[in-house]
Amino acid sequence: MDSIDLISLSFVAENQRLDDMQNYRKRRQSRIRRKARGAHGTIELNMTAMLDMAFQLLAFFILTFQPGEIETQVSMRMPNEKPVTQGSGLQLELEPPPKMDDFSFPLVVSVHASAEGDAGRITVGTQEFQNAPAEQLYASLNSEMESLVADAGFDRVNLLADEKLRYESLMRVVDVCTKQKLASGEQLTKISISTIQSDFAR
Amino acid sequence: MSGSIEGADQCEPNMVPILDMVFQLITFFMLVINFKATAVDRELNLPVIGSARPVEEETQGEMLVLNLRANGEVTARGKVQPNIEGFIGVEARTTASVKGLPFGSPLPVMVVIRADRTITVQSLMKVVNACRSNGFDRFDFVVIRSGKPKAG
Repeated sequence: MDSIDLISLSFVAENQRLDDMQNYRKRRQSRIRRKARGAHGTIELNMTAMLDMAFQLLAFFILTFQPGEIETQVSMRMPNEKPVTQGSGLQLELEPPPKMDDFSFPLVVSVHASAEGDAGRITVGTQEFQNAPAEQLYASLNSEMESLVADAGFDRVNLLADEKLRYESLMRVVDVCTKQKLASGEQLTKISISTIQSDFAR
Repeated sequence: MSGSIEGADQCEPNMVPILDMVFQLITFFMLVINFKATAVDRELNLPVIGSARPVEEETQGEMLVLNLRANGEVTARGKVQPNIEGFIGVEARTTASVKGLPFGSPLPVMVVIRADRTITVQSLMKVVNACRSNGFDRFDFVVIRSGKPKAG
């Protein structure tokens, strides 16, 4: 390779370098121009404040969140008893007689408390269950009621609860009553509750 | 990741997914928040009714929540009511006058009884009878359908 070739090669390389520099400048200028155009054409929202607010709300809800137990309710309509006759002075006002459909005998279920307040003795009609754990008493009550409600045609229950009976035991008995199906296929819903004196109070 | 990288010296994280997520969480918590819980005494051990399905009725309209604690106290409207008969009487008179009903007539208010499972039937019926004699005849007895009762 002679010297002319070397000069021409270095010249070409120099030209290439200049071209590269020019291209770089052009690209940079065009990028600066693009950025300048963009600065005027678009609006950038400041998200910081909104994010702060959103996270504060989120923290509040997380801290106050209380996942409750699965609660439900046993609904009952318990009207106040009215006397059959309302008398004042010489006037005696009789309430209208009940319709024939209203004549039905309630199934009387009495629940006596044990010393701990659980169900200790349960009487259904003429049957009596006692001297067994409470769970067994509820099972016996259930089987007895199934036959009585479906076959004997009782459509209401008069529940006599020992005044010393615990609320939970009362609700267990109510639960057994509301599980019963009438002869018509409907669920038993008519339950009246009244208290009786405790065996332990006598 | 669609972060907008303009140059090597600038990096902007994309906030859209995180904002979406946060707002979805806020929506969830807003929907599940229960403002009725303010009237509820969380210290009560409610009775547990196994797998049975109690008679349920859609609770609508006004409610009077009474919490019967194990020690015999009754809380309502967020505080202990030492004279529960008097409190129920005042509530009944107020409701009757607001609704334009004669005092003693059946009131269209659901009495929600949240009683500790250890209280006696006697204590319960005392409150129930006070409600009944003042015209409240619709009751909801709150129970836990399933799950283990709290210790204690």
